[in-house]
Amino acid sequence: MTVVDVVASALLLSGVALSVIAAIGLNRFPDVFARMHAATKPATLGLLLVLIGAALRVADSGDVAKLLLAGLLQFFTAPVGAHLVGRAAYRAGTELSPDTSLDELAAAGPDGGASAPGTPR
Amino acid sequence: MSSVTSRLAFLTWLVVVWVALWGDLSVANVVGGLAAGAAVLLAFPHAGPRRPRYLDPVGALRFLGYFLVQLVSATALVAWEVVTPRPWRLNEAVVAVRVFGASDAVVTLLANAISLTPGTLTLEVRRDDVAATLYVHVLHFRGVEQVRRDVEGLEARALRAFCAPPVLRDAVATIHLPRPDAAARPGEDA
Repeated sequence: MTVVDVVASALLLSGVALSVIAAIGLNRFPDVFARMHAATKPATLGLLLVLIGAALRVADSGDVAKLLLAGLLQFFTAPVGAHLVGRAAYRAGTELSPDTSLDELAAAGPDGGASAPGTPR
Repeated sequence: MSSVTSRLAFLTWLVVVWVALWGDLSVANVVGGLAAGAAVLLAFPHAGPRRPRYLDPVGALRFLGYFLVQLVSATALVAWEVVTPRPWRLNEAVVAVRVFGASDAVVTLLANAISLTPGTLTLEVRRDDVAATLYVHVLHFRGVEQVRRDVEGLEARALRAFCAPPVLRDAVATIHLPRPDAAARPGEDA
């Protein structure tokens, strides 16, 4: 076991742990919107740690390029996915959990009537 | 940036992705990537990011650094929330935050970054002429001002990185305009 092996293992294990935490969070949080928090932050960092850990262990630079690309795309897709799920849920009239104390979007209208001009509906 | 340069930049990006996916920088892969990229551009003429027209490299690095620190602390916060036994109480809220809409690219960047930083998640974006209103879902609500300060921390750094200084001065003026959502306050029920 070299130092690189130890570091890679530690990164892989903590990445996996974060992904497990994200999955548990999806079950435990009270509403769609809180669940999206669990689905974005720990999942993104978790995947990133797994990818860095894997990149330390593979020798081939082509494989490292693939891992880099996967990490980069996660940063673009995870927040967009969570945004769209949350937005769709809100527009569909999903109730916020009773722990919600303020909803400024309700005043603005939930149907997106003021969406940007030129945006296809 | 003219549309030709921006399409060429997008084609270059597609070729880089193609080559990275094959994992081998060879002539065949570059040619294949060019063919596939051209096909994508033909099939989706409006595809491609509207790239920010201005980039301050130091500002961009500082934005990235700030963002990564925020991502780690966001993860720690949510992870702690998940593993600690009940009863915890979330105090959720949806808060409207005005940000300066320098370009669609900057607004997109901000909306994404907000979703990956502590306790906040972008739910909805509304554009108007001078600014964009982001509707942010908050996990631990401690007052509207707190949320706005968090978003402004990201916004200030994003604008410094991707906004030319004269536009930035407009931004400062715009951001401190009265927030139009203040008028909508009576409609809220606590």
